[in-house]
Amino acid sequence: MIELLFLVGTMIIWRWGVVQDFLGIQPSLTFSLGFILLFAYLLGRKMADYGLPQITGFIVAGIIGGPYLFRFLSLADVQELRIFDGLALSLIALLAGGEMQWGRLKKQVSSIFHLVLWQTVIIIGGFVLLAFLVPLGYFQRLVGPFSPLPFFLMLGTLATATSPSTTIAVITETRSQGKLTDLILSTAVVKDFVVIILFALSLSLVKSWIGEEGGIDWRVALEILKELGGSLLLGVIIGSGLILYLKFIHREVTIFILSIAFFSFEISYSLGFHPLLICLVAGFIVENYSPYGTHLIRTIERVALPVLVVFFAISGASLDMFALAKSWVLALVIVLLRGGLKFLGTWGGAKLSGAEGLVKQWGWAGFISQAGVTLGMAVIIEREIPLWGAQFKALILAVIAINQVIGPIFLQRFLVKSKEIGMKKL
Amino acid sequence: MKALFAFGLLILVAFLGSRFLVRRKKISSVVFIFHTGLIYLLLGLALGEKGLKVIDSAVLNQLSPLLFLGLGWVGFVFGFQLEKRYLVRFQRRLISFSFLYFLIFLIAIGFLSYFCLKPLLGLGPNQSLLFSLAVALLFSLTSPTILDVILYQTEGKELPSYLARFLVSVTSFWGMIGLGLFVFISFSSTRQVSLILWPRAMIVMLGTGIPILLAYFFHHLTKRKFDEEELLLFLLALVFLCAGVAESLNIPPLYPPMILGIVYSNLTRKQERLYPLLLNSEKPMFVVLFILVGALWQPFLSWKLVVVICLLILSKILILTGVVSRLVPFLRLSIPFFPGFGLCFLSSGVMGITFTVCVYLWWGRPSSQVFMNVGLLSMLSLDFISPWLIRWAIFKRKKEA
Repeated sequence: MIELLFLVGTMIIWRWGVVQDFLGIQPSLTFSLGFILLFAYLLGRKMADYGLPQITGFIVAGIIGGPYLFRFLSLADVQELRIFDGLALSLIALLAGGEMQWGRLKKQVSSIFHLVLWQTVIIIGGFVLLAFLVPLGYFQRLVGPFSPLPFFLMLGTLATATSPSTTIAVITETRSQGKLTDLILSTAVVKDFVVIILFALSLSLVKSWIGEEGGIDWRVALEILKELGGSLLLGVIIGSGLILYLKFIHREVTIFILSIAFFSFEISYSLGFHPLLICLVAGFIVENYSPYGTHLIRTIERVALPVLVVFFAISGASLDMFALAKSWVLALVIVLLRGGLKFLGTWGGAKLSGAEGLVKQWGWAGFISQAGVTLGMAVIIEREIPLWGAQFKALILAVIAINQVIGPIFLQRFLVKSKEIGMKKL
Repeated sequence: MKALFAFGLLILVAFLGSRFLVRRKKISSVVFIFHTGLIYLLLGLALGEKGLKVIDSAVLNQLSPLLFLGLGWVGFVFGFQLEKRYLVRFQRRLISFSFLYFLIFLIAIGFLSYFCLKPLLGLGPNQSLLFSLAVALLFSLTSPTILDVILYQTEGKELPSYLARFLVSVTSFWGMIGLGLFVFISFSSTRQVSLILWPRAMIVMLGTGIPILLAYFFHHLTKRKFDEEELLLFLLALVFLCAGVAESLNIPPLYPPMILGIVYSNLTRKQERLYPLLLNSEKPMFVVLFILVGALWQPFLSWKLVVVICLLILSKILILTGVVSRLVPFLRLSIPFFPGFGLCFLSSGVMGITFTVCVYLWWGRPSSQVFMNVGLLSMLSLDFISPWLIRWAIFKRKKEA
């Protein structure tokens, strides 16, 4: 605690206007990065002492130091530091892929299918149903003067999403390994993709309803297929490249993996592919088709900590606290509703697939966190549906802020109950 | 996004390229630039604004924390070697010798630059004075990288080699301290507030005091049990903070991390855990740094510049062979150094490059671009010729023996 107080105290003095004017101190992104890295890590460690996930600490540190509370990081700093997102996401996905063993995974295909299907159906269905149950006048007073059905359809689609990156990070941090860990991770990853497809379809549908554009654009489906196929292919190519490198060169592996992580994110961005899927497949290929999986994971883990700390701290700093302050009641209602529907969806999927009792009771806790993908979709809605996109985005930002803080805590609870924490030995 | 692409591409190309070249057993002088990392500088240059424009000013701006981290890292690594327990193992006269070496360069190169640069580069009297001081400090810096490889190939691990390596390593300390003083007497023109003397002193005090405070903080953090990943994180964060302090106060980013390194290495007893980490991280860090420096550099060449550079290089060689080599007997060593010993100090390597960039970043004067060109071209030329000259000196000694 002394370390944290020292850091915050120093930063307050350093950022004090009088001191800055007197000494002519210029804003420094390098300084902000150093501060957030250390502060987030120490807060994460402190949280871990209280049995909470470190990632929650990183996110909370970002919120505290971010542009809405103490303002140690400005909005411009946060934007500049987003450059680490690509690297972090690629490393996270490589780690996740490297943890997935096909031998274990193939036994769970049915459970994954049912969990994804029933969560999606029940959450989207639940929100659509709500559109009919909420009195129109009340909805319009609360949100704005427009029809509730398109609004709730989009809300339901976004509520289905879970953050695979947060899931992977919590699993890595807690060194969890086992059947249930695999199930949660695989479901989160598969669902991420399903949500992207559903989002594209829902958006087309909503736009046709509200007259932004006529009819559903089926080319979207083709685009998504292209994205899926391209991502898988690129993932296989990168994975094979990694195997060849590890087999024949096997030197300076850290630099090579960092370059690959940068590259794959940028290529995926330029070609419109899915960065997470590419690296996930690459990691999966190395783990399942070569003896270098453990080496790959160990190398990434050695350098990943600073990148992950910055990534989650910056994602915390990006959470819009003004939006949360403005609509926290409504956001809380949505969070609770989403949690309830997640429970029903997971319970139903687990029951139908014959999954373990623990998945039925506690599986929902593994799917609460929300981050980048949901935020990205909210930004698209704001741009594509000018009628209510801005209000929608503000509400979603508030929901994400809550879910991203509580999500890792729930996931860790689930992993504790599964008794798979600390089972990974390297 | 372009930044990420450029960055990934550069590391990959540079890394793969270097892999094939440095695997040769017999290292020629040309290939030496792979050892010193200067090839990455040329690569960065090729991909920068003056080349393929992959790393343009917008990308550089986005990647500026990495540039500062690289500069800070060099400062930290250098400072970390200056551990009192290690230094006291060497005779005091060796340290005095390194200081004398520094003074010789400060005076000789300083005077030469002042009188030559003014007419040649058309600088004003004040600018010329500061410029000469910066050039003198730059030329006093030394790097043991090339010497290490050559001594290993030719001498093995005999005592004179060990002492020569030590001297070449520690001599840069005075140049770095000189850099701190240089900051005190010459503030950058980009600073917005006008400063009277005592706030200037305060800024130098802050630039020194904050790293000392952070070193104690680092020591406190590493007192308890920690693993390698945590250590890397602490180190990165503190070097970022120190380099950030330099950026905020507009002082060279080498200086505060060097102070952090010196103070921490003298506080901790865990050097043996940090050294492997520093060694492992050194290569990726330098690759990134050199590529970014190369991209930042906007070279121009004129006959006046060539004359200045040739004059400076020639002077350094003359001082090293004519003055420094002749001072060796005063060291009264039991095993004498070879006559051309002074040439061991010829290369400035990483220290020279980082010093040049630091002055360039912080100075903010129109002449800083000239300084960058003089500095980088000189350093590159010196690193290019030093393997030949050092080998020649050693070979001559063996022949005489």
